Amino acid sequence: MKREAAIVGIGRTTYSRNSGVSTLALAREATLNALEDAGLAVSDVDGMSSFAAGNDSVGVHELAYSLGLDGLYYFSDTVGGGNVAAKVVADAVWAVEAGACEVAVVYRALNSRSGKRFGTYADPVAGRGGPVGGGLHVGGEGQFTAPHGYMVPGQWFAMWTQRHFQTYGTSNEDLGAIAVQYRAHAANNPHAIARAPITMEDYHNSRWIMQPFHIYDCALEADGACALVVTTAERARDLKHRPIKMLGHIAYTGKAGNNDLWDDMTCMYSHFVGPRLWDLTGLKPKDMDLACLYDCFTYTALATTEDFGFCEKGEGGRFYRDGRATYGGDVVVNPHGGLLSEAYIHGLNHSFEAVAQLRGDADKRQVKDAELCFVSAGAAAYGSAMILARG
Amino acid sequence: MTEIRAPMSAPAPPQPLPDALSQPYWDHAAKGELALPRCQACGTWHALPLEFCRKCGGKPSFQVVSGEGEIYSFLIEHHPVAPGFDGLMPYVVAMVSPREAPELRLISRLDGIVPDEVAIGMPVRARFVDHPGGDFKLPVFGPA
Repeated sequence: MKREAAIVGIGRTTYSRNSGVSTLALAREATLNALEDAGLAVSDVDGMSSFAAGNDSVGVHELAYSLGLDGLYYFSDTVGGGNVAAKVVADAVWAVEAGACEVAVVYRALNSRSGKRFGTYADPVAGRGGPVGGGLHVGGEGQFTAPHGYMVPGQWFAMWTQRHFQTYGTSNEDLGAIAVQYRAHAANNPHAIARAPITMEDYHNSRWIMQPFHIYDCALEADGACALVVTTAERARDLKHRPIKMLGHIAYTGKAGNNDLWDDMTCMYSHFVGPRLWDLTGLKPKDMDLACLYDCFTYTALATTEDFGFCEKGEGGRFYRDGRATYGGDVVVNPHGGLLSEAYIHGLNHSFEAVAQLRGDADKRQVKDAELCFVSAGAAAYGSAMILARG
Repeated sequence: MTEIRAPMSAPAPPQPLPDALSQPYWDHAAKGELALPRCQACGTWHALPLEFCRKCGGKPSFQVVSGEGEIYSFLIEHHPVAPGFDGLMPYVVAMVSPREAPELRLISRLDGIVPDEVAIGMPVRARFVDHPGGDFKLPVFGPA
């Protein structure tokens, strides 16, 4: 009989703009909270999965050592951005199901507001170039773009958004509907950094970052960590919470991950992942009670909402404007406020929210009778999605 | 005809760090030529210098093109993302489809145009400017 895995614990730190502590301290706190939540001990852990972008976190070896563990039977440090935030969860589920380990911790810890920020120019040491003669020298693909002042992710997204505007007549009114909707959700989430409601007028009046993006189109760079605990379904029966199962996960990477080579910039990896995930699970978008959609920018949510089939291609803005992405609509999207309003914990906070909702532990923002949650992570050429279910 | 002119105290804009594959691009640029990688066996154009053509495995090399193209997409930058650009903001960065290989998208700061007048499909042409802070000449597109 196939061995099944379940998510049995979730933990996190406070999300803030300045944690004042190391990523190790954040990772420890989130992990210990997740184990406490699960009713497991540190000594039960024999697997860990995490991800980092440009050495901005603490790796699994260091965290395990710090927690007093002498060894791990499953260990994975994935290099990546939010593209891998769902994949690291799937990897841990599969490791447990394969019998590689018994109890795996999945975590993401970063100081992306007080430390190295994604929204400003690349760390010269982390890039393929290096500081030569005191200036910023950029090699690899970046040598053709950085000298033009093009070197942060938001700029790629702005380019694609402009294509979507051109192709489908999408506008800032559509992007703004997403920002306003998620912020309204965050008002019911005490853990969210940004809870004060915004209006469409606030959105339009807010400053430009990289046009067509206003500040409210951009994820809330933050400090913090969150963690999930995965073990066998059998062991889950004796633990504190209702187990949460992963029904399926599909990842895709295209065109060497180079975002300027992406053929149709109005769609993303989700165009490839969606159909396969629905086929794999036998489920449909309308079956989902809620969706935690990766939203590093409003446009990411818009394009992937369309690609995954929650609405027709080109109708993403209308989907939000018509109230179909909230309570009483088709599917509640990002009830925690998403990366735009809860915090940019690089997408792993989406999995935390999914588990909390499916357990029925989401308090004022609880989606009624939530049984199935769609979780996505990534953008453009590279990303994945999974469906989590109440066990 | 704006060039990047920052005060001496300001940081220089990012400099290219050529490697063996990309060096010919910068050698051409120094002569005022825009050159793009093209497979000498099958004729496929490539956006980036490659060791092997991804269509046929042949050997790409650089071929000089006209420097004409049109805007595929663009953004208007209002936020300091790169050193050396503070004095230029807001500046426009475009994806340009070169005339000879419209399937490619070249990234270029746009020069000589008011940001609000930029539109997809607009014809543009490259010219070469001295890139501050080093010895490189950089192709910068502007209205054709």
